Amino acid sequence: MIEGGLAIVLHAHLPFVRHPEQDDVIEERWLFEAITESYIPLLEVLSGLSRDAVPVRLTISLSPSLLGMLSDRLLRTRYLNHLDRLVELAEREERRTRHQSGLNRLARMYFTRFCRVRTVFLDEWQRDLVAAFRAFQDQGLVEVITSAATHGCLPLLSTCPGAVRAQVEVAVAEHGRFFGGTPRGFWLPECAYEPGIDADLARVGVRYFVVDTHGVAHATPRPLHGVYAPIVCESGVAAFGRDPDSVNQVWSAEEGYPGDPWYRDPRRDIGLELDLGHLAPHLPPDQRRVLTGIKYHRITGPKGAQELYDPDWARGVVQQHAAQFVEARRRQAAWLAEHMDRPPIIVCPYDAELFGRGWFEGPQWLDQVLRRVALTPGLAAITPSDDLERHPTVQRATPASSTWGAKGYYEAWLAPSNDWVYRHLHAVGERLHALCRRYPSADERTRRALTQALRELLLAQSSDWALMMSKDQTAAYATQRTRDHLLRCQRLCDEVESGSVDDLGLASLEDTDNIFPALDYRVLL
Amino acid sequence: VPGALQVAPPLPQGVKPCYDTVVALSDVLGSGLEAFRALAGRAGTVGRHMQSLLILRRRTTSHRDPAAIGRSPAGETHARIARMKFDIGSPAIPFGGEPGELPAIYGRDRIVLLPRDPWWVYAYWEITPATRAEAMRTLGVDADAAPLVLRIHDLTADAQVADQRDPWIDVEISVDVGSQYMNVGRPGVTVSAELGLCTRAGRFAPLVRSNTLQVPPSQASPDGTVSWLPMRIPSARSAASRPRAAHDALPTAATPPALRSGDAGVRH
Repeated sequence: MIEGGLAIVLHAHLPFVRHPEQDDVIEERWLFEAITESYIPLLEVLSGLSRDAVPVRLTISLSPSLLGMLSDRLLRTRYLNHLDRLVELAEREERRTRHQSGLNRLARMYFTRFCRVRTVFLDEWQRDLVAAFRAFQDQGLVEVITSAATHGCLPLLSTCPGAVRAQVEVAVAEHGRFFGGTPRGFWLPECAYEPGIDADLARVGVRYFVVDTHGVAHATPRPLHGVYAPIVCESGVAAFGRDPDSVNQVWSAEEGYPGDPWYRDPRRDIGLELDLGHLAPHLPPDQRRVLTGIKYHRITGPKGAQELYDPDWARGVVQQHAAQFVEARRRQAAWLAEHMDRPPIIVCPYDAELFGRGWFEGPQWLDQVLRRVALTPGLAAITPSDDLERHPTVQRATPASSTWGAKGYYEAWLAPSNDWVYRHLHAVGERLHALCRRYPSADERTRRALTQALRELLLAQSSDWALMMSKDQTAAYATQRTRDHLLRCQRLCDEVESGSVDDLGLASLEDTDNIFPALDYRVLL
Repeated sequence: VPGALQVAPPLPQGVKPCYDTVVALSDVLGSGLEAFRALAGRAGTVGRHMQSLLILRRRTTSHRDPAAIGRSPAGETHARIARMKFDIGSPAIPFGGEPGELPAIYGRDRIVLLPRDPWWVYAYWEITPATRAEAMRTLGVDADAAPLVLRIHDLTADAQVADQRDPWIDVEISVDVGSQYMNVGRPGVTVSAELGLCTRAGRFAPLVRSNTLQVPPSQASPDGTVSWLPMRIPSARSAASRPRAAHDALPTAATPPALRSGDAGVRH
């Protein structure tokens, strides 16, 4: 029997948010919530699969900015404090609900869950979640790949000399620092590709990347097998296209699994509903309401009162959904195999934060899917590089310019709310590029200043800021981050040009924006 | 059309057809029904692959129609996931901040084109006073009434289109530092832009030229060439233990492809 490959690719990324200048900055909770709700549950899934020796392979992209935060001592300490407050809140909830058996059962569930997260973080992995992913990579369960250094949307930076190369080379160097060697795959931020970007990936030894469906469907020449086989660019890097059939099943809140009425409702949260006095220890210093992660209701239905969440019932629904997904993929693979002269590969890329943070039952579903695939004849959970190893002769074609964002192109990052950033990103980038070329072997102080200037430029290039600028809740923060990094980069360029680098100011910036400790400005030369 | 529809077998049970099935199918029919009929009817590998292509393309997304791309499930969900990742129940509030403002101008002539989608490009530009003054001197008496014009050149190597279209789109603009979205009208084209002064007599004095931009295509390529490239992928263990080995992973054009039985190196 011909075996079809199912390549599940999880992309884990958050922008670099670290504010040593102030305690309890709520934006750092983006990371904390993702650790509690997504990354540690994902590690628990991997632990279970490893323990039971389930023969599956999973691809996980860990962006360099996320790696920088997960490995940062200050953020680890702050996360532990955050988690301790969460455990305490869950404990208080247990007491508060002691006369309401339904709620109390759920409060106990959260208390147990947060304690378990604490054990995993502190005792099992000694605060080092990067080491956890490395361990699963070493076991062969996971293939860890990288993404651009600060998740820059590469086609929107490519007119700036050295910008794409720096995003790629810094990312690969960071991957090597944490995981050893060169990553075989590279997650293009936002799946944003334009012809030519593959050459920068080829230069550093990357073998493949993933694009959205139409990136392959509209490739030149026309791919023989659509998205069910890779194509290879002239540079020698392969591209895999996303399977459209599995997109809706998992991603869509309305039609997909996460919208099932038995699943937990992500919108109801005690942080938005209970008395502020009760929540106080968990709230930020200004006592603003924030999400806590403690949610008691299920989605229920469009009308009527919401019912309490029932984890046992939800577990049953997860099993049904996992079975349905695997059976659909098995049939799809069998049908495709009949029409292809090589085993098909079905590539299913998802944001890692969808599992847990966006869809509470997501990690359970993933666990069930992988276990079922292992027992399903005709289907194997593999990585894209496994597919290339098994079928190394690949059709030559260049993917089409595309993204996985709204409408399939660049509109999410290039719209009236955020298009102003590119004028500045390009101008400052060109200035720094020219300056670095003027100092190919700078003295120590200039080297540090130029390296920090590059750090600031890279931080300004994150695609997250442009995306956030189109959303009310995050626009002001994103605008300020972009502006601050650009101004810091400009200031350092001024100081280098005038030969008056401010040692104290430089040291302060190195402490605040401490991402990529091994960075060297000469990557821009 | 009914004949073509009969070629495609029903989708497997449990697999919903994509929203764009009809769009993709009409794409295939529109771009090469005659060729398809001729080839699909022939026995052998080529005919079989053409049949597979039609079937597969029914199931892969085609962003041909602007209205259709708005219904892309992946795009909608991407936006939702992005909202969710940064939702902490309260607006993110910046504090502190660097003193000063970003420059309104950088004192350098430039125009840059960026892709928005298959139909629209974004241009931003800056013309310095010195450059404008120099151009006006060059134009002499005609310069007073000469507006700033953004001229888009279609650089696509496509003789048929070049015969049928003006080689440029002119957009009159009013500011020396600004930006604009422009409809290029044809997905997949290669364009560049020039900013210059254009006299009433039609004389164009270019001031600055942009990058060359390949606008995203909106449908499958008409190029049906099939050729193969062998890739050498080191095992996972060796990839993780070696520092960098870019050179030994890249396939080379000189390497003969490891062809499978029945394959030809290049097919048309």
